[in-house]
Amino acid sequence: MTYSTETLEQATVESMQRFSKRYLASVAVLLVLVIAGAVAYVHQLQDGLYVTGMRDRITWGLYITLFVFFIGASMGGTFVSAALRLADMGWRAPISRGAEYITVSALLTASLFIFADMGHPERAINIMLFGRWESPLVWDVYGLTTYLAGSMVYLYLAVLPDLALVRDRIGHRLDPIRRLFVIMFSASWTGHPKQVKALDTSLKVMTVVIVPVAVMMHTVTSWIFGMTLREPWDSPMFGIYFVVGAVYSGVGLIVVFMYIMRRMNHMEAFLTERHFLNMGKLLAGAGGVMIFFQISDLVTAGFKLKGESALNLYQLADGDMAPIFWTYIWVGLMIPLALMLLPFTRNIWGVLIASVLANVGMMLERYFIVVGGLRLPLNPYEPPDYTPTFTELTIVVGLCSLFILLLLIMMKLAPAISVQEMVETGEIEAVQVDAKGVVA
Amino acid sequence: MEPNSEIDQQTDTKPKNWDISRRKMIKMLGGATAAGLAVGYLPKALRAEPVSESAADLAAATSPESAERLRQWMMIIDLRYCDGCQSQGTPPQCTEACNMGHFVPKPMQWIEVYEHEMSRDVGEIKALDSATAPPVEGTKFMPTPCMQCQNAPCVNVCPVGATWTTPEGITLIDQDRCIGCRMCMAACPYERRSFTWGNPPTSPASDFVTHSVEHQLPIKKGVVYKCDFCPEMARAGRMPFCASSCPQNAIYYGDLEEDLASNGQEVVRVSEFLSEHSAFRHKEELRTRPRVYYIDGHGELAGRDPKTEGTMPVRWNIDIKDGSKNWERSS
Amino acid sequence: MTNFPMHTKRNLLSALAIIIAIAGIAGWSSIASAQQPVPSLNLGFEPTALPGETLAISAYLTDPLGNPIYDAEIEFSYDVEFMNVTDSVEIGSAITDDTGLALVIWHPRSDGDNHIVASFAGDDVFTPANDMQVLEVLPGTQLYRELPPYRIPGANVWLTTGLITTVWVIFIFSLALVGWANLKTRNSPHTGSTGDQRGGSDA
Repeated sequence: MTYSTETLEQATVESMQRFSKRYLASVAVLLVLVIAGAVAYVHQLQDGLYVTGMRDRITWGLYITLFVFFIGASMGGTFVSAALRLADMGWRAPISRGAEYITVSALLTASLFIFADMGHPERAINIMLFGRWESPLVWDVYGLTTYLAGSMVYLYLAVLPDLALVRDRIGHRLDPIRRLFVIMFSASWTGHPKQVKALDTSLKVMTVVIVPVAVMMHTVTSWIFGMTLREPWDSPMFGIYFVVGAVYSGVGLIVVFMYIMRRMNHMEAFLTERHFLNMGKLLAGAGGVMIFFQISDLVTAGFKLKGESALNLYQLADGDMAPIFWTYIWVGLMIPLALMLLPFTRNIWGVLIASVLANVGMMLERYFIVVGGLRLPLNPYEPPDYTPTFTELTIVVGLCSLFILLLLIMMKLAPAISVQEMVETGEIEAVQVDAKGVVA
Repeated sequence: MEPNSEIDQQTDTKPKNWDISRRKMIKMLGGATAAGLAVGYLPKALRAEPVSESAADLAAATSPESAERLRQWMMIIDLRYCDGCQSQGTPPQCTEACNMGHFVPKPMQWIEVYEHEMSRDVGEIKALDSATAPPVEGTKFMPTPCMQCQNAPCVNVCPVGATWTTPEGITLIDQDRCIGCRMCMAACPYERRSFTWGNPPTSPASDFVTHSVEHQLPIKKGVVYKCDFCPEMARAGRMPFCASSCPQNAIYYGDLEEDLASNGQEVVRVSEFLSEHSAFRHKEELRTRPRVYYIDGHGELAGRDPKTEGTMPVRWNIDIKDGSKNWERSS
Repeated sequence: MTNFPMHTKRNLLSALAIIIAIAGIAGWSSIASAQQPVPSLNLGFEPTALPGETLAISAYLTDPLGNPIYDAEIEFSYDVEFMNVTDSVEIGSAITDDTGLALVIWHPRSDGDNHIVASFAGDDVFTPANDMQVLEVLPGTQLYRELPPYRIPGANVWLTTGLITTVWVIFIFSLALVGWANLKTRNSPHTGSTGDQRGGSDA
């Protein structure tokens, strides 16, 4: 028996009204962490960046590491959603909404990490007033805002019919804020064929445009490092390396979010093993490319042992950063790939574990790119150390919590599963129901 | 819902073939283009000159359009005479004089004396291993100020143009515009830039000085500082702090335009001096085109034996181990 | 003296001869040294020059009789005050040829009055000599010009601005299209409820 559109609409729209205890508890905890982060940030504003563990030699630390990580995570979201739409992959339907949420939330969080790292955040407007187009940082700022704008437009176009659905079904029962939000942003959508045609055209255009924008965005982020003369960063490969790493960690983050949505909103029927396995295949593909990059990097550096690239190799493979590096290789790259290749781990749990490990690995990779690159001495002194302080960690935790909090809020502003896409692509027919019409 | 005939008539005035009329499409595209252009062009339209107010005055005074010939400041450091002030039994005098003259907050050193191993292999591995190897050729001391590169990586990457090269060839920083992103610090291949991580201790003498990009006082929190070649002193005909305090007179400060340099005692012709002693520049292969030249040596003309074991560490007065954790705060 | 014996007379005479000889040699040598010739050194060059211009500085070394002295080394320098240090900076050195001419090519760099000094260190025949003349260097154009820093071809303002503008135009156009369509047709009816429009449309 097929699952009707009506039932789907009812289910998703009703879930917006349901604030479970688990949900409220999560929001409360995250809010506390965010406030703690804000307090720590005020302390940092007063005393300067002295409160972090960064000093003149290791001048970029956890803030920039996490900035790059979240930019990578954002790449996974809309890029995957748009690429799958371009390739006409129907199974993307239940995933795409969550993926788009991740992108918007990750980009906002990433820009906050940049603010946290600046010595004079109040002068950020200088980038607009005095920005030099020759600077990689300016390319990154404009890339980030463009990708954020594009993702928001893309998300909005995709969610528009669903907002209209919410307005029509439960608009009168919503609280005033959400009612206003839904009415305003559903922009008088009535399902008229002309509206549908316009939306289709716009979405097609946005899909095609957002993919190269996403790739460029992460490439210019990599050029913040790639345009310097420091040995570990001075490589033309940085652009594509960062893009592939972003897809890898982004896909992993989507899987984690999928799993949380599945459990929290009881969407077992929509986010089935098939979806997880398909994402697992994407993960394995990206992971394979990452392994290839790592091997080619190590082999070319290790064969020649030329100058400072040899120092970097020693530092990573053998020296003080060895635990981080080898954890990244085995736990972050090899094990996820193995989990995806072995038949008995090819299930939801396997994909979930692989994704979590992939993200842990990518976080470590960002760390040894940023901090390891700065650690290499350019003058004769002992390689310096970097230890994050409590204040720094509080701000980091606060901003990561903000990322998750934004996701949770967005889940209650619009249906968490894209009803529009489920019907469009015909995925709704794949939903399993039992004889009573209840989802399996 | 019953069709409303009036509304039907309105919709009937649209072209039968639904797609929006071309005119509407073009109008919309035009509007969108205007808006998009505004976004793209806005930064350029808002942008002031790439240098700030006080720096603009400086630029006007020394612009190439003026009839005068401009100085092109440079430095020559004669390593045959530099022994890291080991013979003096003091910390390097150049560093001390610069720190005192510019009220540089600890633990910054705008000119830093590094002890280089002369045999490269040993030096490179020594930086990573804790095991020490016996010196093959010995060590030499190298005072390292800001190299004042003419193709400066720090200038190239600054997002707001807070650091720039003056027409006289000196790279300066405008601390009023710097946003503290520290990209210049990541980009400098000589690591000569320092950041004020906390509230720096200021001396009363420096508190009432009007800020100028040429003397970087008073020192403020959250911005980048570095050696600035003392341009105001140079224009007044006085040697920079480091050059005038060197007990061996190893540092020459000169002008490439007039082709002269002086170490406080003698004046030399730069072109002859450099070619005669086969001068080199640090990390020349990076093509940053620095203005600091070195004459190779290891303090032999100051009577130093490069293989002397147990030489006094050059940093024993400035405790900056482990990435400078002992930043001094006023509060 | 006539009463001295003969051998004493001979001794006295030889002693006298020796004394006269020594006195004569001493006298002669002193007269001779008092007469060591003083050469004259004459600098010659254009009285004015521009900075960087090729200037030929010549110096003639002649003996007191006006004959040229050849194979003598003449050193040229000029006096400067740079950074409050007064010193004499070497321009070069040259050997005099058969006509007593030493020539050196120079490109003056310092503005204003340059005091150019030629000096002859002297040898076993002649005493040292020097000459100084003033060269007026007129104000000129900048000699040392730096190459501009490298520029990445294409990563200039217009390319980046153009790219960003194009992308933003597309965003705004997409929004405008949907917004326009929605607003235009918001009151016009269509078959069925909001749930039906998804029936036939493709992704």
